[in-house]
Amino acid sequence: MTPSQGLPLQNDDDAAVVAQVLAGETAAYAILVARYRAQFGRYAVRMLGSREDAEEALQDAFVRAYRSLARCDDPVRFGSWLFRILANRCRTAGGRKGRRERTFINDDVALHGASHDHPAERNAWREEIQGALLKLEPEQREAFLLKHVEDLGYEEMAEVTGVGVSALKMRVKRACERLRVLLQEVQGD
Amino acid sequence: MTDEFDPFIANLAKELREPVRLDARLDERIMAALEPEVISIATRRPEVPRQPWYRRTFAVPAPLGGLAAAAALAGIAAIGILATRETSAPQVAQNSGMEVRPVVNAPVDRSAELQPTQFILTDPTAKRVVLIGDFNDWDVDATPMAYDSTHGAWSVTIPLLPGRHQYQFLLDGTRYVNDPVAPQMSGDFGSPNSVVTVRIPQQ
Repeated sequence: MTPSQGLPLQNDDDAAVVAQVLAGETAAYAILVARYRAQFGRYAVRMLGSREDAEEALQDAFVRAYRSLARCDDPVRFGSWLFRILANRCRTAGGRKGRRERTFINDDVALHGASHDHPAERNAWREEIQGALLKLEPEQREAFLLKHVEDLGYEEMAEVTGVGVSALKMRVKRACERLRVLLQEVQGD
Repeated sequence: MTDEFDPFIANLAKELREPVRLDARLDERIMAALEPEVISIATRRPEVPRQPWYRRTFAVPAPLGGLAAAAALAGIAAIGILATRETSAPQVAQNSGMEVRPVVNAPVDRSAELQPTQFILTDPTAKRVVLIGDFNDWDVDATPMAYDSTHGAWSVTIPLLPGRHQYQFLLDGTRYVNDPVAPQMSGDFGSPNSVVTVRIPQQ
């Protein structure tokens, strides 16, 4: 399997940290939290469209992983294992939140990192993208994010989602088509 | 379907790869949530038998009432989940001001729906058996099972909300065992878990 160029799903240092935690040095778990929070948090925000929901899903995933750490068969791939838990939590949270009014990401999330000449325009564009993303079916959104934002290969995506490669390719294709339609409508306004 | 470069999609991906700002105290919150006292109500052991359901004697289907017969099975033989005939709604202690995260899919105000559910595992060779599942966040300390030497069986009864729950037995802190008489499904952690479906008793 070709390793991911995006998500940090494998880290040789993780095994030593996991061993430390299992030996009773629970504070060492903070190393893993610090290592994965930013990138996994970004995925959760993009998936759920709300920083608050993303932080809740992220915290839940870290806590579940901690309590089940002894069941992590391959600590070198702790990141992959943790991400699988997070993806499941996002699916659960997405289903729950989907029945309520969706909340777009906060301005400060959209504003962060914007350093272009016309930040207001860029922020507006990014909000449009996030809004279009939230209009996708959750499984299409998940597949799109994993493939195009997190740069996972299809085999890795299959491992994370438990869905077959051909089905994932179809989801990505449909997500791209739908995003194109949604966002070209915006650009045409 | 090929992965040809698409400048439009590449532009979207670039925007979505921008970092997001999370709560500066998120790490602290996560580490605090690992503390044993900040756990779900389902993981809090009934320290005193003040819950009415806990004191009651549950009606057990006759074939499963004979633990001795099951204990005669070689190796690990689980009897599984015993449906109780208790019809009154059990009660649990409510949040007493401590930060408590809700049980998965279970708002606190659903406590009246909790059904006492018994788990039994027959394994006379184990020194300690713990019930772990999504109802107690897979906490290996939350739900120890009691051993009945007469029958060679481990059992515990806990309140569960109606619905489907995943679980396993942890033997001697090292062996994760599924319930051989219960259905299984793929869990979050990549391996199959046993599944119990709790239903509201017929009135």
